[in-house]
Amino acid sequence: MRGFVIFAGLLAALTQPVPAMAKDVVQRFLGVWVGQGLVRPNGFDALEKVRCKVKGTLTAPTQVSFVGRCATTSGATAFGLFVAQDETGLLFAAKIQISAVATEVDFKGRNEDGQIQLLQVSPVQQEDRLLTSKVTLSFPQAREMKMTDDITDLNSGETAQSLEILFVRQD
Amino acid sequence: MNQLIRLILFLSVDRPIRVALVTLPIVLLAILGIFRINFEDGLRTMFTSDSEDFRNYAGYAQTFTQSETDIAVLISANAPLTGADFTVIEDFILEAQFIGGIGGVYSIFNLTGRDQATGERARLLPADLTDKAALDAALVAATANSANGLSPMSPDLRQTVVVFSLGADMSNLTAPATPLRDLEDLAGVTGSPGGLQFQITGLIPIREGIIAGLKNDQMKINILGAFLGFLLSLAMFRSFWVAIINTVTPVTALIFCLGSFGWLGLSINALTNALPVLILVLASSDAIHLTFDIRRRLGRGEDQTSAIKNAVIDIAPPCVLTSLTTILAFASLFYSGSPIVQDLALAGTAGVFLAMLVVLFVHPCVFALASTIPAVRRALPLIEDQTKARAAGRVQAYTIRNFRTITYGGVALCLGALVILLPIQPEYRFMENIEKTHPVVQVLEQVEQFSGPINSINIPLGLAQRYEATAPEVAEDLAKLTKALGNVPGVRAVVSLNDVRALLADGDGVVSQQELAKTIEAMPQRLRNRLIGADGRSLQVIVMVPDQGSQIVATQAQQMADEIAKLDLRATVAGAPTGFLVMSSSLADDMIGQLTISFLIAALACPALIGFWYGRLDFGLAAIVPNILPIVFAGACLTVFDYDIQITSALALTIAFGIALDDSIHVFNRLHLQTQLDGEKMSDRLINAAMTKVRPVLIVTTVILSAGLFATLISEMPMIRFFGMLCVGTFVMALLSDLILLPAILTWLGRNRGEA
Repeated sequence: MRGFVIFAGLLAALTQPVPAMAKDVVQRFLGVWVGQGLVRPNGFDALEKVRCKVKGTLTAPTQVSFVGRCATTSGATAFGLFVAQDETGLLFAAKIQISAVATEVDFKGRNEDGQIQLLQVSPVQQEDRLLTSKVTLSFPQAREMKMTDDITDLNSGETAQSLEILFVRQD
Repeated sequence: MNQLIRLILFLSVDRPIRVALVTLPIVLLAILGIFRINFEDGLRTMFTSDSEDFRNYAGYAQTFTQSETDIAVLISANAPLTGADFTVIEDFILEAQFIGGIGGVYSIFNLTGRDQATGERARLLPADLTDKAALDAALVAATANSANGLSPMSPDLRQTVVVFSLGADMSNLTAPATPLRDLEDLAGVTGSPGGLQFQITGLIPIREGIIAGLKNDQMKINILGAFLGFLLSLAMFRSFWVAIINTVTPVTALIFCLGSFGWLGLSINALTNALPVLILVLASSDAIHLTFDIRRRLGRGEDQTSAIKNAVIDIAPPCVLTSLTTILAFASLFYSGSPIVQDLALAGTAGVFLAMLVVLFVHPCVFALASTIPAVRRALPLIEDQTKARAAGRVQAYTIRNFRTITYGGVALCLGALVILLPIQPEYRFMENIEKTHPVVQVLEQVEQFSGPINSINIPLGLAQRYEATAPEVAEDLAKLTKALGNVPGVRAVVSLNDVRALLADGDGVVSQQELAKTIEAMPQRLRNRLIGADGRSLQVIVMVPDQGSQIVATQAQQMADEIAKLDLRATVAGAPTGFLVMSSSLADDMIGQLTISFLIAALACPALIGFWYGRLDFGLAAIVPNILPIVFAGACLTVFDYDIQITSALALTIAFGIALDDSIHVFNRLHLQTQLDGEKMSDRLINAAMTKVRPVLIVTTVILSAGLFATLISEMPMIRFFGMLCVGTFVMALLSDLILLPAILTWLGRNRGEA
């Protein structure tokens, strides 16, 4: 609910004039991307190779959808990252979908030194674990974007990096 | 009939240029139609029907994932696969899943084992594939991973199989063609740099192979058939121009036939594949009858126009009748409930009708035009060799003198063949339509050696009301079923939800319902729906068996049903064995039964039509034994040489019956003409005279029919080759029957009526 309020607030801000800085950040997601990296499919299990093919498109002047598919040797799944930012380009809200059937998870965060750090709005219960995660989006090179996901089990305090993908823009 | 003849004379003989000008655009239109022809293997449409077996299968196929849409990739190396090889394979699997239409994947990477350090289940292959010791240990475990012998890894560690499951929307063959080609491209690109060999197999590649074979066949068989027809015409008529004239009409008929396929939306499939060449040879046969008569008349000194006109008047009626009996044979196939056989019936009736029109209108026109060229005109007259005629006449006289012995012998032979034929069993195998040496089939055999057969007989299980799929009582039922079904001869493996349970229980042997439910939930949907129905209230036991033909499959299905009936199942209710193999085996037998009735319809209707056409009961009666004999004789040979009757042979024999009648009809026609000409009743002299005139043309047409069908020997499809050779054998037998038995029976009937 909290995530929805933040997201709705950001959407309302879209009616306002858009500063150049805000535009620059969302523009970085645009295009066709191929990502490669490692993933722990269940959060804390062994790392597996992952490959993603996604397309970033503007859905509004400060809102971008970064949608495609990711595959491991166990199977492929839908991947969706929907990012909205405020007019300053500093505050972000995001929804992340990692499967066709799983519900989207809400995030909010900031742009700090060129890195967008997104924190999960509310933890998610997964069997006996209570999980929360921090997603970091960075842009090491002009045509590159790196995405990492650090998860924490709030019950046990256990942490792990569950995802690290380097996306390279193809066009 | 007289009006038709007048029309032919008015158009084709008196106005040949106008007919040619009208025909040419139609030929061009037909050629355009050829490019519209659709090719299909007919697997899906072969058995579609309202039958209970098909309805059961269709309902079941909606509940459980079918292996019909699996594509297997066999990856091989000359030495045991290394970590570097598995890295290449891993990348291939990742990339392949971006191909549109791929819905799931199963490979060695999906195997799991108990992690020694954490005790949790984890991927069997190590995360670091370059860790040789860990990889070797994992590979050894992988080959022994499955208790039922179904492993994605070969025992020598040189081969592994990756199975891609297509999405549910990929059930028709036009859709999977694209992902299959994309996968082949990816396999081609991936395989070469690492020294690995990627080979693709499965039912979809096999169906694609059949379609490729059909396309090649159409190109090669028709061209070769036409060429052989030309060569034999050349050899038999000893005239280049006559051979050319005899080739124009059949080729035009072939183009019309193929064009009509395109414009009417008819497909070339495993059954209709041989139809175009059949049309070609049928048109050749009728055209040669006309050619013979025209040349004979020219040889006797008639002028060009009179010779063509008189030949049309004499030969057009039997040509129409031969076409009608062939159309009747094809039309009898409408009795079959199978859409693919009904398509053949429609294509056959339409094709033969078009060929008849082409022969009647185009052939006289070609003669009329060609005879305006002096070189051709000089080549046309036929001077009959009286020496040969006299020699043959002596043989004829012998058969007429010994008419009783030959008639009784022929009837006895027919009955004897029928007695031998009756125990023949129907047989069907899906793989009968593709060569055993086809690369896709050979790769499939390699895969089946370590990964189990792709074919299965499936037992659907309904869950009793208060039980979930994960309940221990269900596991007990599955264990009983696995044990009982495993005892059925020929069963290679039995796969059920208990195999998932066994994998989870590798440590302490105990699996909680929660752990099993979690594992099931995590399985890809297509894989999950192999074992648990889409409704969540049904299970499936997959009994892996090789496709050894419909008789063995039917026996195995019955044995399984018997074994299940003996079991005391508490939590499940077992349904009848089903699946594509069971459905196709059962319906193939039904189809062959329907084709037998089609043959009986043709066998009764065609002689009746002949009798009615000439208003002569004796002609109708005389047509029965000499034309049924070649069919039952061919069937008896199949029994003696231990061939079972397949759909193709049942079809071939029905169609061949319609064509074999052609020779008899030309004998009847000649007798009819002689009767009218001489004004005398049936006599030995009349029969002898008619046979003397018609004998050479019967031999020539049979040779050319057979030569055209010999072209099927280059077919890529074993069943088409078999169809062609069965037809050739029947035609040769029919010729002997018409030259020896028919005159004897005619004499016998004439004597009994006091005529001869």
